[in-house]
Amino acid sequence: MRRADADGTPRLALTGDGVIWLWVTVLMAAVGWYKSINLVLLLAYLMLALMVLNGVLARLHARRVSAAREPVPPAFAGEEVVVALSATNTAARAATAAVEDRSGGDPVTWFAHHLPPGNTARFAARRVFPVRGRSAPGLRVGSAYPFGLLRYDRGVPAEKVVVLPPAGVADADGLRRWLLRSAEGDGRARRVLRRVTADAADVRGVRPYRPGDPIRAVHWRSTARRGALMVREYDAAPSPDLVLVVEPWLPAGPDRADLDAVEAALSLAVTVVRTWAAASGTRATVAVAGDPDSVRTTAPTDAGVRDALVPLADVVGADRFEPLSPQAFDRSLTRAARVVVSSRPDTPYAGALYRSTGRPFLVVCPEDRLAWYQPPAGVVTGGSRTVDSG
Amino acid sequence: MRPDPAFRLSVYLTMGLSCLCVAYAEYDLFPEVPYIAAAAVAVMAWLYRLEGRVELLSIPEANRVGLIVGLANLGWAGFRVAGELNKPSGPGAGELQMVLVALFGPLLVTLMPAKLARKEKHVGDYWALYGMSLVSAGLSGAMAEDAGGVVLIGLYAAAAVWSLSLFHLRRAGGEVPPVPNRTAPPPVAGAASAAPGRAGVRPAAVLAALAAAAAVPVYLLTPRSPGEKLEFGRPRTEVGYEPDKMANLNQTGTLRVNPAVAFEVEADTAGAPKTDLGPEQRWRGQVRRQYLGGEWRPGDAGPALAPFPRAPAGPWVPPRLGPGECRLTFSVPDPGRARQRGEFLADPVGWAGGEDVPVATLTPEGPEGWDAVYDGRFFPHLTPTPGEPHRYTQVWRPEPDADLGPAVLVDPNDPRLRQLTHNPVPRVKEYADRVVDGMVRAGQLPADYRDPFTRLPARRHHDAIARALTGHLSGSGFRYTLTLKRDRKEMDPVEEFLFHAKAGHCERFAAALVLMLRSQGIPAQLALGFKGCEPADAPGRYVVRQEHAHAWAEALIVEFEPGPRGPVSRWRSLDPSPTATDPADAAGGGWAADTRAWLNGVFKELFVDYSQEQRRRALAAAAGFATRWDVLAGAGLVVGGLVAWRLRRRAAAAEPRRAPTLFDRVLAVLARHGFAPQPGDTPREFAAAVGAALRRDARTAAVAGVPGEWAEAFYESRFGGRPLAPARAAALDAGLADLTRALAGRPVAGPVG
Repeated sequence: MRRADADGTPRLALTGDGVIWLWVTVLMAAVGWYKSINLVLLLAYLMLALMVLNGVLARLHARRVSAAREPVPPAFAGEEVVVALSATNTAARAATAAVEDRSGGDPVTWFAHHLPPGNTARFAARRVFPVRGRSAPGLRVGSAYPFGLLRYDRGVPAEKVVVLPPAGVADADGLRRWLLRSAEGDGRARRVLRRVTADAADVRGVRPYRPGDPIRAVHWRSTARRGALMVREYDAAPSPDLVLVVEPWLPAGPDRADLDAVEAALSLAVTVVRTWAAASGTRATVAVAGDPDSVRTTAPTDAGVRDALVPLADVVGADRFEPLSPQAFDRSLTRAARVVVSSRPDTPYAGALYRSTGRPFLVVCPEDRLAWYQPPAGVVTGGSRTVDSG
Repeated sequence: MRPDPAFRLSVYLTMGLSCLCVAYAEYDLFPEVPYIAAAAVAVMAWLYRLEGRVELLSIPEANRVGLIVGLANLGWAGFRVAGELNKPSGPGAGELQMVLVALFGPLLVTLMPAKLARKEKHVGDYWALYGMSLVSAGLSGAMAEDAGGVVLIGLYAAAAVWSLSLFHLRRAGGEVPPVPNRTAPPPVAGAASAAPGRAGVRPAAVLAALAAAAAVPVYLLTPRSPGEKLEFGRPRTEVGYEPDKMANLNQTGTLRVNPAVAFEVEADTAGAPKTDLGPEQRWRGQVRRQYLGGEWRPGDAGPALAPFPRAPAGPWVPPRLGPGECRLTFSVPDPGRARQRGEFLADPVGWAGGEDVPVATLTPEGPEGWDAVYDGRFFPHLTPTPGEPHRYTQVWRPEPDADLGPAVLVDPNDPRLRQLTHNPVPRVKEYADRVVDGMVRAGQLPADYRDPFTRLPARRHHDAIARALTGHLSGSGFRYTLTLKRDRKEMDPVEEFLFHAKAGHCERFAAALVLMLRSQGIPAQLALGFKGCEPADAPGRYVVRQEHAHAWAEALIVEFEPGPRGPVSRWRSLDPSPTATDPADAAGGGWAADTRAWLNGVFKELFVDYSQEQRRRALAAAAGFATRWDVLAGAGLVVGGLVAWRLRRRAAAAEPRRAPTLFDRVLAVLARHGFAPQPGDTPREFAAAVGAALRRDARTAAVAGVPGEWAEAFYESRFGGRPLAPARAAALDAGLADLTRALAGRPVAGPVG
């Protein structure tokens, strides 16, 4: 059966049942007419009239119904999402129609029978979008009322669903420790992290020294006043903000493995951002290499994270990227943990970023062995590396 | 899962009605089919109750049941076919084919319950059920002959429409599993229904009515096929000229009236139209002389008649038959493959000895005289062109006695007379002897009427005996009927007719008379043709229809009367068919019987037997009806009323009426003086603006507060729910009157606000 054209052009077409019905009708009419079996001929005409009625009514009913998909927040590929639709009867008579949603791969249909005029029927279904990108298929409103012999379909534009790369699972503490450890190779980076950590701490008060407290934390004034060692007591040090740049590097003439590497890098980036924002409660800034317009900073909420990751849904790999300037970032890079997630090991892009921004970036790629990271199904990773900032 | 009740009921109802259609249509052919159908319907009713309550059959089990049912059917069908082959008259090839096809009906009837007994039915199962019911209904439609069959098929169609609409809804809602192992449609994630009831009977009825309203006119307008009509089931005959069928007295069934035109005749006398041809006019076709086993065959040529006309050697010269002669021009259409074209002549056929034959075919090159056989038969010399009407002319003179042919000389010892006196049914002589003896007792015949040598009635009594036997058959308890039966198939049909049935069609009467005449030594033969005609659209033109087909007897009265050269003989046409029909065929018996007969007639004419001629008449009648001034006026009124109603509805929907409010009164007064509210102004705002404008004018300053008072009163009553007190209403009215007076002396104001 032909359906409405991809551009939504309405189409009236015979269903499979309708084709058989038509053949039977023609055969009966031919035999009935040729052999003057009048009642058989009349039955055939009746069947033909029913088919014509079907076509007319299917068109009428389909045109009475409008459908809309409620905006769906960006969803991770492979994540089960509730997609809500509404079908509204905009005519003055009841309508019987079906709404088909092809987003998420396999089409799903909802059927509204005798929808009163002006009424809206709401449907919802759990859908899984398997592939990142912007799920473009609109909705189709169709009707084959009342016999299912002919079907009238028309396309209804609907908002695209942004599908983010699939997220893996990351251990938040492991990620934090890795960040700190990875910064060891760059003492400056480590000091930055530690200083940021310390500066960002709120002093809760002083207390007596306990073995193991850092000497730095000794509050000398209180110590002098009390005659005993007193140390500052801090609130849990807030995590720094995260600045993550994704480099979707693809060689010219990429093969399947190269494309998979890009997807794996995107999944890793998404996982890091999501885990960091959820665990630390701080903001993360996400950027795509070479695209200053892609820089987004999350709000420390799930919705904010998803919104910030939207540019990753449209990422197309390339073999060279211009380093982002510091002005591209909407936040200070100084007090943030800075990471480059690349699809290739030994990426020179981190060095280029350092030269551009004056700030070193940790580098990670899916090939790194990351003990704290579990990629989503179908994505493979290896070991971890950092890049010399010089 | 048990389907919802409405859908289940619709499916079972549709299947049950199709079984009833088969039972009704095949009852005459297979009397046991109604019992089979009743059993099938009973099983369906039982399954309807059981479905969902107990486990029905799995697919393999249902298939096994179907196989058993099919085999049982096969056995019964074999028995039936064997019976057909062993018929005393031998298997008719056409009848055997029809029987084989009709056997499908009971097979489908028994398979439907087996299919319904399946546990989980998917879409394909339901479509198979609908298909089986459609074939059953189609088969019944092919065999239906009366209103009952048509009504049952109509009920089936209505039930099927209902069921199909519910079937679609259930499929679309995902309640019916798709066909396994085939590409399934997108899964239905959810369904919502706000239908007032799930039964859906009313919408289905509307759909069925609309479809019927569209289908019936198209069917009536469709030109009819030139092919032969397929006859299903029992052998059906119709009143129409088919010599072979007419001559076979073993045929049974109900004769159906066929109004198709057989031929047309133009009659003129000396150039003037002859308008007095009446319903008793006979048109002679073939004669049959040999009787064998209930069938009349042409036989050998008859005795030579003299003088006889000559076949023209050159151009045909019409014979002179004497005063009153007229010219009849015949136009016989080609009946296609349905019938053999015949040639018909006005009876009695007259000729002038020694002159050209009285019949000639009209050709572009001129009339071509027919060939003549010495026994009084004429044949066209030229074969008619297929597809074109056969036009020929006959010179004819109506005789004072329309039953008597021309005077001829016949050799009483002509051996060809023996064929015409051969009676193979001894009991017919026994019957005829009794009748003749009755004539003697009644004094119509002398006691010595028999020839001493032959022991048969002497020739001088032949004419009287012939007329007496004719009168006996047309009265004396014999009935004319269109329903032909053969209850005693071991007897000769004529013998059965005379001694037991005493009812039949014209062929039975004529055949019996011929044999009775022969048994008395009177040469006789069976004549087949038509009797009667209808005036056509012009004076002198007549139409003879198939329903006028007729059979009569012809007796050769040898030495009928003296002649100049010796005794002359004459053929006398004898029509023993009574004119009164069988009460069972008649439409008497009260309004119920009349209505039933009328309905039957309508259904037969419009559906069962709808032919090209009926189509022509129906179209002419429809055109005549549609062009009547009263019908056109009525239709115009109805259409106009509908259009006006629709327009009013649209206007009312576009402009919702607003009930007049209290404030409208002061608005009306102010509007006359140029005060109109701005778009969006509330009554209070408007009143304030008007008040300000009125205050600026000394003439109206005193009444500047009136609009505000009215606005407040409007708000209180409209929104505050406080009706106006009568005193306050009176005060407002007085204020309005003051305002009106004050404004009357003021020039028309500009826009306010």
